[in-house]
Amino acid sequence: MAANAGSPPLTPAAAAATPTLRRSVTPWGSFSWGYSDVGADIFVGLGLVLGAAAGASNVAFLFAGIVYVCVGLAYTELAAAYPVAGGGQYFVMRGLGDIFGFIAGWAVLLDFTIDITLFAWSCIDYLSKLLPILAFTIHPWTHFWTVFLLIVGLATLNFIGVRESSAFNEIVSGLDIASETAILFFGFVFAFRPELLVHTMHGSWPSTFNLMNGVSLAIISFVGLESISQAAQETQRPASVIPRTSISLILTILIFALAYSNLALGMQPSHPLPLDARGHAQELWAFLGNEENNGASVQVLASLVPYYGALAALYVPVLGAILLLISSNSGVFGSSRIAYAMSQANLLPSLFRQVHPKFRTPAVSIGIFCGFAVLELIFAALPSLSPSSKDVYARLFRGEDGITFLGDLYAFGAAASYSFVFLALIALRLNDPASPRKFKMPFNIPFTYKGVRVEFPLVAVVGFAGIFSILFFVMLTHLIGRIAGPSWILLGILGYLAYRRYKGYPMFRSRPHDWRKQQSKILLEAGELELMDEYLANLKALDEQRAKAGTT
Amino acid sequence: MRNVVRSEGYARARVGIGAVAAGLGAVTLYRTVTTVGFKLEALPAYVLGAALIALGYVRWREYRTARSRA
Repeated sequence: MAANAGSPPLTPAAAAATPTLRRSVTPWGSFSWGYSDVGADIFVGLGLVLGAAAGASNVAFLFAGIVYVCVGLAYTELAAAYPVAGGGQYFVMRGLGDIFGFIAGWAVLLDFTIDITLFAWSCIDYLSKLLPILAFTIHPWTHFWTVFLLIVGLATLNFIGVRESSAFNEIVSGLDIASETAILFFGFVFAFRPELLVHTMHGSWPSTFNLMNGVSLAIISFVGLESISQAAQETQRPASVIPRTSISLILTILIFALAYSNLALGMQPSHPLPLDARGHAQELWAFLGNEENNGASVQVLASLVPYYGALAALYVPVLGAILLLISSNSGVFGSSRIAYAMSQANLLPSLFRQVHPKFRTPAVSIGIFCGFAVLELIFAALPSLSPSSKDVYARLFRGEDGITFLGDLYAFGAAASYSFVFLALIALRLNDPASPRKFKMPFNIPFTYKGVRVEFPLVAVVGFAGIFSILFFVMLTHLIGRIAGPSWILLGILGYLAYRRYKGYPMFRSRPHDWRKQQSKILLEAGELELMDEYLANLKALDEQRAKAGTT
Repeated sequence: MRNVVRSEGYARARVGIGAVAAGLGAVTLYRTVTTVGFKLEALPAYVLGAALIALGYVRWREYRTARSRA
């Protein structure tokens, strides 16, 4: 998470004193903020997808990538129109109401807690390529304790309010883009054989079940678009900057995911691969997707690229580990910030906006969500740490464990929250046509709704169908995801209803919100004065049109 | 960093990288057409080529907008 801006206002008194975040993120800063979050995902996702979808991994990435483009366009439109840090939760609350806003935010919180564990886990996996003592398959206890200490360390840093600088993030993102481009360039120029790609796709095409499994895991390579809206609150002139940087970000991530998956299926390695456990020769995709390498597949692939591989093998583990560490930290920071925003909107108890008197950080939220992350770590690592629990997992969960379990839940949380974001976008197009949108998703159908001309977004429907099908694939193919994901949502809803009842707020309906006043304030704080004038003029025209049509 | 990002050299470098991306996209499309042809299994490669060309186009459009503002 890149942020050099100040901390969010954390107490009512502080909120009055420092009501806004400092808007100091430049276009490149905004791009690298998103890149350091989403760009790290391919380091985790590639091996998992290759292990599941085999010869159709590129097709799995293509399907998830198309859905991701739709999600990215939706976030770009919404973040440019409503540049607030709440992200998906805010858009859904505004478009569909409080309870749906809570569900979307709660699903994002699940993703952020998984984010902490999954990326810390993968960070150690990458480092283990240089320090074999950290290898999960050889020393599971050492791996477990190192990941645990990493999570505790990140929680402590966030607790005392230390954050990495935006400049550091920008440098790491720049280095990573250059590195990945070099790996792909050498791979495609010197080792890629299209005939081998076609042969692998024909010879290793997976079953339908495994393809759906692969698609559901491929979406984790594209998770982290919340960062677009988080960056929006701290970007100068967000309505102009966000669309520019987001489109570049979306294309860059899509290109890397498709290029890596095609390369993994069609590359001739620069040196022979080791035999598998049964002494058989193995194909590159199988080698990258096995338990030993799936946590650090980009590094292994890079090391097999001709000419460049020897150099890449030395620095990619470090670069990958740094990027993954930044992403893990974004989980710690993001979960506390989303919980804080939800608490301010009366979707979560005030406990979640309690701040430490000395450090002025949301200490309780950090503690609670890092606690969840540690529980997830224990659940993921248990089968490797205790042989008796391995049997239990094999019986109950088809042997799913470790990084696959984390990937399942990550995909579930993302698919659930993105589904609501598409519905919110459609609802906002119909109910809030006055808010200026400097960027709109393409392919819209104009029609009259309640006496006002609005545009219905076709791409949102395609995106919703795609992300909902991925949610369905997750539920169908992952036993743990099927149980743990909905349980998280259900427990959250029960807690929400109990809290709203206790506070005397409507349980299923929304509390009154003055969205018009809020929108003017948002645009004013963003420095989008022209847009604010446009918004006020639109509101006036809208009221006149509605009065004429006899609607309110 | 901020000064670098705002310089004209940086804008030129970005449009240059965009041109390389577009070139790679064209090569990807050409090689896919000549080796695999119009088959369903070549779809990811076609989308990859199209995305590279689109990235080049976005960079060129950004550069043009920045120049017209200057």
